[in-house]
Amino acid sequence: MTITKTNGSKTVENKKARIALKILTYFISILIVFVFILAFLPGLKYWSWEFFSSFPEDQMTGGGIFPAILGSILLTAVSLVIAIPLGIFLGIVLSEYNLSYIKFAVTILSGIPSVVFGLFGLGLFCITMNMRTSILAGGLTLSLMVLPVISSSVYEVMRSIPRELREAAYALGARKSEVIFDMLVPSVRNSIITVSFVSAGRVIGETAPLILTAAVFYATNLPKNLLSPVMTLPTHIYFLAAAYGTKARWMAEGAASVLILFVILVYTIAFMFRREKK
Amino acid sequence: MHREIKDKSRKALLAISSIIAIAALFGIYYYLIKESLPAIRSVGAELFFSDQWYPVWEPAEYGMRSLIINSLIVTVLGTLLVVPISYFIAIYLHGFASKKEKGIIRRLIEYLSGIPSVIIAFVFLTYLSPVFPNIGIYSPQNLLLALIGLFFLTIPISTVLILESLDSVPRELEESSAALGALPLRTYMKITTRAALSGVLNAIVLTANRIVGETIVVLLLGGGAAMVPAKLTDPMKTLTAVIASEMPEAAQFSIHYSALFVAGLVLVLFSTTFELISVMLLRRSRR
Amino acid sequence: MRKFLIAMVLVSIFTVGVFAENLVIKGSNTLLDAAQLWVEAFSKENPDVKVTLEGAGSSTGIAALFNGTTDIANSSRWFKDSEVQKMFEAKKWFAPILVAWDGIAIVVHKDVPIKNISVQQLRDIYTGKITRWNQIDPNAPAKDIVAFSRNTASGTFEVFKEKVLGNEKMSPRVRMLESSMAELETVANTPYSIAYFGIGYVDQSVKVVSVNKIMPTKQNVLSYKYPLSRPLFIFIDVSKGWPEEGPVAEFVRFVMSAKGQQLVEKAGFVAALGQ
Repeated sequence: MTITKTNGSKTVENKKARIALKILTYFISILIVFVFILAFLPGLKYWSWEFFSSFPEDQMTGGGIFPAILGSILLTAVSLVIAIPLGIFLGIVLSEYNLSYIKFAVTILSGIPSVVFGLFGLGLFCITMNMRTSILAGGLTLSLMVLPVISSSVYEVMRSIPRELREAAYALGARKSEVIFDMLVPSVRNSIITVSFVSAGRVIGETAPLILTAAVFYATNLPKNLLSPVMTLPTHIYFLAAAYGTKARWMAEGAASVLILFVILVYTIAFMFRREKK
Repeated sequence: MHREIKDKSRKALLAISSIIAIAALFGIYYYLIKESLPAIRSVGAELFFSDQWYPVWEPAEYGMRSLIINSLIVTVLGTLLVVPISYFIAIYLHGFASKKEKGIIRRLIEYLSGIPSVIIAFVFLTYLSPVFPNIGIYSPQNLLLALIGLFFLTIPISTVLILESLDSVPRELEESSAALGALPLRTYMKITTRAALSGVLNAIVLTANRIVGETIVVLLLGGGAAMVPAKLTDPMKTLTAVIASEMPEAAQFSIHYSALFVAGLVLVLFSTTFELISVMLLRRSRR
Repeated sequence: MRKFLIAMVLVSIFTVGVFAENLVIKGSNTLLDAAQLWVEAFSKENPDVKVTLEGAGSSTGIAALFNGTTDIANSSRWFKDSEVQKMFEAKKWFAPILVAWDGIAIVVHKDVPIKNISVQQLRDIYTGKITRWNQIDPNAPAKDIVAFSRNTASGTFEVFKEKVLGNEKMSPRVRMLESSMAELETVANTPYSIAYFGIGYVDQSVKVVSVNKIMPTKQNVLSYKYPLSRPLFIFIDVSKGWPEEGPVAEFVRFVMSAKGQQLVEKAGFVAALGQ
């Protein structure tokens, strides 16, 4: 939306301001594109069937990142299987039952730093509940972390449904739970799918909580059950960046490209569903 | 009958989800406090007043004053860096950009918001960090580098939040301002912004919260020195970085373990404060 | 709704799953190279044991032993007094297995003109009393010493703290890096820098200086002539008795074997057995 106004010299001033703002915006946008390029392109040359299907070898100077890819997928799946249903229910509670203290709790939860969730997960799941370093501990921790995000989004989505729809359903004799589950939720199915994919994007990229609860630096086999530790793409990149030098950088770059591809794919799907709804 | 069961079970699920949310919040606070108590009891006020963080020495010292100050410095400087720039970008997108421009740039920024922090940290560590020794700065990872990383990390949420609040201001306000002879920029900055003020302030608070809670970027780019930086190019370490890097070496039941939980508690208090301010601001805007 | 239930069922099947043998190894970064070689060779001979490895620092391994989150702790240092105390309190007993000998090499950037350093000078550098290279050698340039160290999780750090610093506080201006590899690379690329790490990690890109006129050669390390020599260990939890069977036992046997010790030398350290 632009407002236009002609008034001699004042327009010139505003034109200057407009150009300045445009330059600023474009400059930052170009920098952003640059960051994307630097993150994505250098790793592409390491992509190969071997890279995706083998384990790391020779102290990270050879082989591939298969276990990390698998670990990321598993963790994301476990945490979303828990968090999405819970998040939908919670979002429904937020929008259809006006309980301020629950809203309050979810808001506070949503701001808690990810590393603190990791701390909590380490203490409670790994040590006290004896899950050790495992997919389960990491998945539970991540699901707690992403729960407020999902429920807030579902809340916003439900809130935007016009009142008339609900009133009509009640008029027809439906109970509250039926109104919610048989009518409202299906009507925003696409938005809920969007929310799920966005939260998947969030979860795939998490590092700090997993360092403390689920991830290891090097595994020789695939995880056999939920109580095994895993390698994940973001933690692998972190370990390589922090503890390995330039000899292993190629692997971090390759892994970063894969991770970015996942994220871009997931977000693109999410955007697609968003558009469809409108 | 069938309908009854469905109804009851659905209500039960809704109740369970609510209980889990509240339990999680209380659980986190309770657990943090419980595990912090040993350190608080044995180290006491020194935790917060001393800047000697030597947890593995014998006798060990657990002064996290520098860490707390560093977390605050990073948050304040980071927010000061990101918010004005994202504000002006939002103004441009709201009032001066064409629909296509706005759509494309906004989409670009939304994609950026999805990039994991570890990748941003990795990119800057690989390409920007080596530049520092070449220009004579002794520490290749430092506060400045961390701030740059944080900038790219938080520019999306800041810009999108401000843009959304600017966009939500009713058109009539802007149109009447224009009708009265005000130029677009003035309209946006004085009128629209004031109307969207609580939304803009909310963006500031949430950005600050995001920064104070960020771990990987400050860990890989900040430099790891447990001291308050005297200049931008000095290395430093924050509460989040110290938790992530030292937790694996702290055994349960040790004071070190407990002291790290104290750091976590401090962080939660910061973030809760930010969120409370945000809640208050949002309540104001609904008025 | 139905999809969710199906997913839950699949996830739980996966949980119950195959009961595989897990072997978790955590700990020393110094031993990480050797450990990776061990794990790779061991896995070839024992394909049904699932091994995971981490090398964030000796203290992380020992802490994990206490927490019950690892089977084997690699360590480049001995126990701290507080850890011995804790073992007593928690009624746990960790047995050490000596797997290699190492010397902590003092490494500088190639352009630094000094060839020797004394332990006292090292201490003064790392506690911040000496800050320029010409304070070590008047012929050296008057440039700031850029000192690097391992982080506090590191066993190498602990040994350095004990043998060089004499438990004095390390200056906060000393930059802490997460791994020996990172130290190697940083020193190679940072002019006027100095760092320390196990000899296994030294390569052509940096310069090793002698300490008290003694170089960390294999002989000097073995005979303890080199002042910063130290043993490298594996710790296992023997509170319930010595493991004679199972993945832990197999792995220990492997490390002690000729092949295992050969890999120690391949990693650049001095083998513990058969010298």
